[in-house]
Amino acid sequence: MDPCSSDGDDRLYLEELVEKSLIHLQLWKDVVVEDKLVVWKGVPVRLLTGCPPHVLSHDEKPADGIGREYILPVNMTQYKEEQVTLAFLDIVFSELCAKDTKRIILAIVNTDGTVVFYFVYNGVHKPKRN
Amino acid sequence: MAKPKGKSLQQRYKYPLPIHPIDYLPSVILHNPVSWVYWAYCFWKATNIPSKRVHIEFEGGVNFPHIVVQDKDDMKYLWKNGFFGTGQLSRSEPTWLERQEGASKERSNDLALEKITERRRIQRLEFKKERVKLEKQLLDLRRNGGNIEQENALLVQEREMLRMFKQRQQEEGLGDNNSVVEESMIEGTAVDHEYVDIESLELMSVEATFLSFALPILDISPKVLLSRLFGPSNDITYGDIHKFITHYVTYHHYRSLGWCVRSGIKFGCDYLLYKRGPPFQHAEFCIMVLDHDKSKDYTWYSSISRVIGGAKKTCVLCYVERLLPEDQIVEYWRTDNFIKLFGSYRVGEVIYKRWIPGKNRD
Repeated sequence: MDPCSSDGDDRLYLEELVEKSLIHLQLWKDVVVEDKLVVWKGVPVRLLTGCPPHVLSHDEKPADGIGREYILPVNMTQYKEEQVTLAFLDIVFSELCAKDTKRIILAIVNTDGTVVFYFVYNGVHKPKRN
Repeated sequence: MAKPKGKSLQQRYKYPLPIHPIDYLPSVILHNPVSWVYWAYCFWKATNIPSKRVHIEFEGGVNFPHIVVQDKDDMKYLWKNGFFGTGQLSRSEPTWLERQEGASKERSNDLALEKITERRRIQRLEFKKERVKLEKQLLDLRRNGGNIEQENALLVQEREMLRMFKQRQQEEGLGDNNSVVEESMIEGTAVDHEYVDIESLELMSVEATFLSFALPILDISPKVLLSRLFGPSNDITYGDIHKFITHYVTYHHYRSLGWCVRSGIKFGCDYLLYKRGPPFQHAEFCIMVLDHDKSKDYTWYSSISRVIGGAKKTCVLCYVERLLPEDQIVEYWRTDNFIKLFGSYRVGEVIYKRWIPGKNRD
């Protein structure tokens, strides 16, 4: 990606914010920005990967160990403008993730200084018991 | 939530806005006219215009600018006087540095919001594990062909045990699960055990506008701020600014009525209203900003009301009405007549509540 373009600036800042938030607020380990890149509607998209400090959902068995998670950063404005469509997520799963990846984490960056995280599963997933 | 001492909170967050009343005038002694003159002189000389403005930076690219405050004292000042902004590495109040220092000293009585949340989550998790264990017993009983009475007895027993478990957790309070939290928090950006603060305070565009247009706090004029956010005013069309204006008008409306207004992103709404501020009590109302002449389909109202209801808050639909034609508004924007511009809108609100016949008898 061209770091000089304005889109590049936005993208880099977005990745940096999510990375900082994961490491220093959520206390994740080994967080890295991946090299692989796809362009969706003119916007370059990269994923982050990292290890959470504990199992993320109590439905998972701790026996499986804590795996690396994929994180997809988007801006709230882009999210509201419906950049995140099924077709987009399909491309993210097929181009940016390892084969048979079950889920990614959508990191939505708001302009009030918060990042909110949501699971996105590839296909139908049994709902978690609350 | 743990309750810190009420009085110190009152003192700590004495002012609801970063502008303070003139409260340092000398006393007047009735039989001493000189004191009247002195008082009048002090009153005439007194000002509550802040001596120093808060500096903001724009970060990120042009499309999605983030407004941040980096000076340590300014961050504290904005938080303490009306709860403006959010620490980028905290839940709300910028406490990252304190948390790091606290973790390395292993202070166990630290009441940072992040720690309370973490502990509550751990407790909830333990409760759920316990529940699964007990449910397995019931399943086993059913598989082995237990009769209804046995089942009911077990159910009663289970319920009792879960209740006891929860009670025990509450009694243990927030004190016990420290080790889990502390351990995971020790890693940080330590340089010889001195932490470098890497956190900035981020302001929403409406907050920055309020602190520049309504109060003289930021070192930027509303004109410069808004052209930085929306581009040169000559190219502006009404469509570009409509959403921002309705949101700002709503924000200003509640701020001027004395509410503490913060972002509602965690509850899927536009704003949260606090009576005084986050350290005092939970937010009571969730605000959704809407155009007065547009309607959404029913599922939209239903779904946000369920989310908000789940958080035990009240959903307020805030309808904003434009009183002047669009080109008049754009004209005001171009000529920086923001007082007239924001004054050309009217705000009306409706509470939306799910009604359950069995529960809402009164």
